[in-house]
Amino acid sequence: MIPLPHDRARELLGAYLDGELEGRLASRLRGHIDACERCRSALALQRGVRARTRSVPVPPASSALHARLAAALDAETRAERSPAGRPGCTAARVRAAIPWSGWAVAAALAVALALPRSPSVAPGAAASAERPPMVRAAFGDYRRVVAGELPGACDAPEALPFRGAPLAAGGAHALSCWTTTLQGQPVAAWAYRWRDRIVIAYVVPEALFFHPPVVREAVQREGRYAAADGRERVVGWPAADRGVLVVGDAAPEDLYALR
Amino acid sequence: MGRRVRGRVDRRGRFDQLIAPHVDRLLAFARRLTREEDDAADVVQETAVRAWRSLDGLEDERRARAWLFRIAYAVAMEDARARARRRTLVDVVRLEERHERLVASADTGPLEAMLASATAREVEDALESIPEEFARAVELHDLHDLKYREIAEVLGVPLGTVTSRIDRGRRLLAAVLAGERAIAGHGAAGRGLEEGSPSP
Repeated sequence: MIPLPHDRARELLGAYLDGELEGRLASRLRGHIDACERCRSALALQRGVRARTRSVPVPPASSALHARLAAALDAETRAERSPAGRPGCTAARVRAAIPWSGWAVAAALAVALALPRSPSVAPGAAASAERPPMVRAAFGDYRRVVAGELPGACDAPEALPFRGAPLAAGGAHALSCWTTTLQGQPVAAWAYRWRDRIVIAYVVPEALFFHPPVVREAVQREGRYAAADGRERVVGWPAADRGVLVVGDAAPEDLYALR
Repeated sequence: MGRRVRGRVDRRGRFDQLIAPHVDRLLAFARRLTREEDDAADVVQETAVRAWRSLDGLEDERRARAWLFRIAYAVAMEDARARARRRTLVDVVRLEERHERLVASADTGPLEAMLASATAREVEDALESIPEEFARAVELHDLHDLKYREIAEVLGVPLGTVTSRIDRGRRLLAAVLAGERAIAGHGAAGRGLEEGSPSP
C-alpha cells in the first residue's frame, strides 16, 4: 500500500474520525497514524473537541415560536385556498394572505385615515355592532383575566408576538403583558390600569384583524371598529402591520382615546 | 370530508411531522447565524414557510433535515444585517501555530482533560470567535449530526471543502479552548502555548 504523505494525512484526520473516508483511503491513513506521533496527538485533539462540542445543549424553542410557526402555516394554507392565490413574499416576516377585498380596504385606509374623522362612535351604534369570533374571544379572555390574577409584570416584552406597547396615552399605566391566542393565533396582550379599572389591549395579526367584514367596513367608514357585550366595550383600530383591540368597562370614545 | 380537504390535512400533517423534530436545532443554527433572537425566530418562520411551499419537491423524507438546514442557511444569508454582524475575532495563523505546539507534545492527556472540562459557554464563545466558514461546518456536523455530504449541500460548497473546514475548524477550536484554559491558569499543559515559549 502506498504510504500517505504527512501533509495529506493531517488534512484528513477529521474525516477519518467522523467515518467519512472510504475504505481504502481510511486504511492508508490508519497506517500513517500508527507510525506518526504528531498525527496521533492531532487526532486525539480532534476527538476531544468533537466530544465537547457535541455535548453543548440545544435549548428548546419556545411555545410562542411554535404557535407562530403554526399561525404562519395556517395562513399559507388559507392563501392556497383563496382564489387570489398566494401573495409574493420576500421579507423574513410572513404576512398572512387575506381575501382580496380585505387588501383593497386596507389600501383605502391610507386615504380614509387622512380624512377628517367622523364624531366619536355613538353608544347606540356601538352596542348594536356585530361581534365576530375574534371580538367574542377578546371579550371572553378579558373577563377571564380580570376575574383572576393578572399575569406577571411585563419583564420580557421582546418575547411577545408584536413588540411595542399599544397604548400611549398618559392616563393608562401598563401592569403586565403576555402572549395569548385569539382564534388560535398568537397575540400580545397588555393589561393597563386606567382610572379605577383594568383595560386590556390585544395586539393581533393584521390578517386576523381585517378578516371579519364588519371590522373592515367599520374601519373603512370611521377609522375604527366598536362593539359592546354587557357592560364591557371594545374598540379596535389598525396600526402598521397589526390591529389593536382594547376591551374595558368604559365608553368607546374613552377606550379609543388611550391609543 | 372531501378528497381535496383530506389531501390538504394529510399534506399538512406530513409537513408538521417533518419539521417538528428540527425546530429546536434550526433555531439554534439561526441564532448563531444572525446573532439576534428576533432575527433567528424570523429565519425559522421563513424557513417553515418556504419548506411548506416546496414540500412537493422533497423526494426523500430522510433528507428532510439537510433540506431544512439548507433553506435556513439561505434565508439567513439573504439578510445583509446578519452578514454584517459576523466578524472574525482571532488571528488564525497564530491559532494554527498554537495548535502545532499542542500536537508536538508527546502526551495529550492533560490537553484532552482540559478540553473535556471546558464549559458549554466557553465552547459557544470559541465557536463565535473562529472564522464563520469553519464554525458553521463544525456546528453542522458536531452539534446537528449532519453528514459531510449534507453539509456540502447546506453550505453550497464541494465535499472536499467541508472536509477541510471541519478539520481546520476543530484545530482552531482546540487552540482557542486550550489557550483560554491556559489564561485561566489550568496547569502545565496550558503553559508553553504562548508565542515564543518552548514547546512542551
